[in-house]
Amino acid sequence: MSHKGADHLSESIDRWLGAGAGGGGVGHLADVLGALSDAFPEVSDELAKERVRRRLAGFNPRSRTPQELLVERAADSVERIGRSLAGEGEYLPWPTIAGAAAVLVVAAVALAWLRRRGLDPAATEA
Amino acid sequence: MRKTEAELEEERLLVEAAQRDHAAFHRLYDRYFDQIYSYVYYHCGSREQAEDVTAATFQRALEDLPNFSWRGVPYSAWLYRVASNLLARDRRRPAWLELKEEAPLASAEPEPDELWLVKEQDGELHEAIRKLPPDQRQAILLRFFAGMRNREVGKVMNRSEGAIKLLVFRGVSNLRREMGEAP
Repeated sequence: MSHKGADHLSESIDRWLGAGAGGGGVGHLADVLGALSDAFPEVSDELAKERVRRRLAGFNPRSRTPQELLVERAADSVERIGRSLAGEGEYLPWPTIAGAAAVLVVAAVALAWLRRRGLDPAATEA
Repeated sequence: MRKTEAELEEERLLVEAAQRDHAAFHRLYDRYFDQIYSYVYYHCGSREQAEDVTAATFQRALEDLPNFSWRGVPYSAWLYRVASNLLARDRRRPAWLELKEEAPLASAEPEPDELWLVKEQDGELHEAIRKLPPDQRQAILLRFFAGMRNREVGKVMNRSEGAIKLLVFRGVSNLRREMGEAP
């Protein structure tokens, strides 16, 4: 993997996108950049747009509390970790990994504590 | 494709207006529908899935509108992020639910608005892009379709600018290999 190559390509793309065709040099790379920058015209599908508009008109947005958003974000993180472990090429930023590790440690400590209480005859009799 | 300061300011005003009055959301919808629909279509190659994911993206946008806070990043970047997450979830569904691009029906008269599907000139390139790993495909589409800078793509994908450069580099290298000398 060439970081220098990645830097060079990035600059070429910026030039190409900024200047239009001809900004990316010559050769096969220029062909690929040219093809890529021309390959994605914004598409317009008015029928789909109207169908989705109707779906949205009948949609009743449910505003979520900050707690619900936090839970949802945690669920997203778990899902991404699952994708990463399944080898689906999902990238995990270090805060996600650190957060997941912290949750695991806390869960393990809590489990050990509960088990100890459960195994303690005095605690069981009480 | 890239937004000027004036466009960003206009976008901020539109978001704030929609936060005050949901009826004003239609202006955001009209502004971004084609972008999000196209982005999802180029990702998955299916009109049905593009429509469903786009609808789900705007539903999420409506729900989260009260919690959205303006940080100078285009609103479209947030929509791209939601659409990307929904696409990633779709990939985890059973294979029989995955919709592949179908050839336009020979008997059906194409609507004028759908002619772009019939006239698609870049089928080979689009097919090669769909074969890329999802993260490379996403980076390529955000760079070339959405015209985003590495920093903006990084915000959408939750990665560093350097990581995006490498992803695009790998993606373009794979495309060059895939397409040989005649893109």
